[in-house]
Amino acid sequence: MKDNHLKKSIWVFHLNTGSCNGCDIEILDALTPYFDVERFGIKLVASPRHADVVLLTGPITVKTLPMVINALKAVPRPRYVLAIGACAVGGGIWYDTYSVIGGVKEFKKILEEHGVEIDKIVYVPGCPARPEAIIYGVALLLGLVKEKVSKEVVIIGEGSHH
Amino acid sequence: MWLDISLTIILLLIMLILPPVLDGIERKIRAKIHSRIGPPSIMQTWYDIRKLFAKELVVTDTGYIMFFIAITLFSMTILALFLLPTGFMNIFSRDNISLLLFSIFILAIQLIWMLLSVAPSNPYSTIGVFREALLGMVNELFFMLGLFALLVYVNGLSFTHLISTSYSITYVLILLLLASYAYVSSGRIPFDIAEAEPELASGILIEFSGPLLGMVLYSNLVKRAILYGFVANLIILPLLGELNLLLKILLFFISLLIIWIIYSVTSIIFARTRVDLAPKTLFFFYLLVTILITITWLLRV
Ligand code: SF4
Repeated sequence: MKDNHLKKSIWVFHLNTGSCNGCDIEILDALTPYFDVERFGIKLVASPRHADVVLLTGPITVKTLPMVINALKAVPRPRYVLAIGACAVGGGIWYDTYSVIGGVKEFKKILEEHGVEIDKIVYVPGCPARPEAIIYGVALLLGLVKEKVSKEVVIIGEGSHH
Repeated sequence: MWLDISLTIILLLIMLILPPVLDGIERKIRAKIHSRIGPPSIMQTWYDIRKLFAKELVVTDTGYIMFFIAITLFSMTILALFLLPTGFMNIFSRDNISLLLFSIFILAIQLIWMLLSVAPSNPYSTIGVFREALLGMVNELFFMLGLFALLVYVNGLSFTHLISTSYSITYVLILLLLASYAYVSSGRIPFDIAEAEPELASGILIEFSGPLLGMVLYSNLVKRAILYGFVANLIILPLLGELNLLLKILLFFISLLIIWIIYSVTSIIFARTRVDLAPKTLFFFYLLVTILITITWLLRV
C-alpha cells in the first residue's frame, strides 16, 4: 500500500480503553482550532471504518477489550495505532492490576490471536501526554519527522514496581 | 459539431475535477473564519479521496448491496452532471426535456442516498436516515412544486428555455425556493440532522470504508456541484443573452464558485438545530414562499 498517500491525509479515530479522561482531554485539546491539526491534513472521524490512525488512550481494561478488538478490526489497513499516555504505553500505574490486560505487549498477543494486524504503533508517553506530543506522535507515525530515540528495550525484572 | 462535442467533453472533465477543489477552497475559507491556517492546500479533499481509494475495503454482511447502491449513486450523479449546462448548452442539455430529466435525476439521487443509508443495517445510520427522510419529505415536496412553477414559468421542459426567460418577482421567488432546496439537500448546517449528534457524527456513512467511502464522498461533492450549478444556471442563463461563448462559460464557473462560497459561509454562521424543529421551520418557510409565488403569479408581476 502506498504509504505516501497517507502522509497528506490522516484521519484519526479516538478510542478510550478505560483511561481516566486526562489523555482524552489532551486529545480534544490537540484537535481544537488553537493547534489546528488540519494544517497537517489530520481530521477527526467518528467511525473506525473511516480511520487511518487510532488514538488509543487508557490501559485497556478487561471490560473494554472486546470492543477495542472490534474497533481495531473495523479499521481498514494500513492501520496505525498511537498509544497515548503512560496508561496506553505500558499500563501506567495500573499495569499489574487485576482489571487490565497488562500493557501493549499482552495486547499485541491477543490481537494476533484474533488475526488483527497493526501496521505500526507509536508510543506517546506522559501522564497525560501533551497535545504537542500527540501531534508529534502522528508525524512520527507517518515518517514526517525523524525518530530521535533508539529502539533499545530495557526490561526491568518481573514483579518489580516503579 | 466537433467543436460542440469536444467542448462538452472538456467542460465535463472540468466539472468532474472541480467539486473536491471547491470543497478545498471552502475548508480554507472556513479555517480563515476560525482564524486558523486550515488544510495545507486547496487540493486537500482530493488527497483525502486519493487516500481512501488506496485503502482496504472493510464491509459489513450487506457489503455487496452497499457496493451496488454506491455504484448506482455514482453513475446517477454523473448522468445528472451530463445534463447540466455550464454556461454553454452542451449536447445533452440542449435536449427537449433536459430540465425535466435533470430534476428526475436529482430526485432519484436523493432517494438512492436514503437507500444507501439503510443498506449497512447499522442502527445509527438507520436513525440518521429516518431523520433525513423526515426532512426530505418536506424538502422534496416543495422542490417538485417549485419545479412545476419553473416549468410553467419558462414554458418548456428544457434548459434552453431558460435563456429566453425574463426576470420578474415570480421568477426571483421561484429562484429563492430552488436555491433553498439546493442548500438543504446538500446537507449543510442546520439541515445535516442525520449527523447532528455526536454518536451519529458520521451519520449515514458510518459503515463505509476505503474506496467505497471515497466514491460516496466524491459523489456527494459532485452532487453539491450539480445543485449549485443548477442555481447558477437559473441565475445567469436569463441574463447571458448573446454574450461570447467563452465569457458565458467563465461567468458560469465564477457564479458557481460564488454560490458555493455563499452557501459555505452561511452554514458556518448557522448553529445546529433540533431534529424536530428543522423540518417544521423549513415547511413554514417553503409554504410562505409558495404562497408568495402563487400571489405574484396571479398578479402577474
Ligand atoms: S496516562 Fe495519566 S492522564 Fe492518561 S489516562 Fe492514564 S492516568 Fe489518565
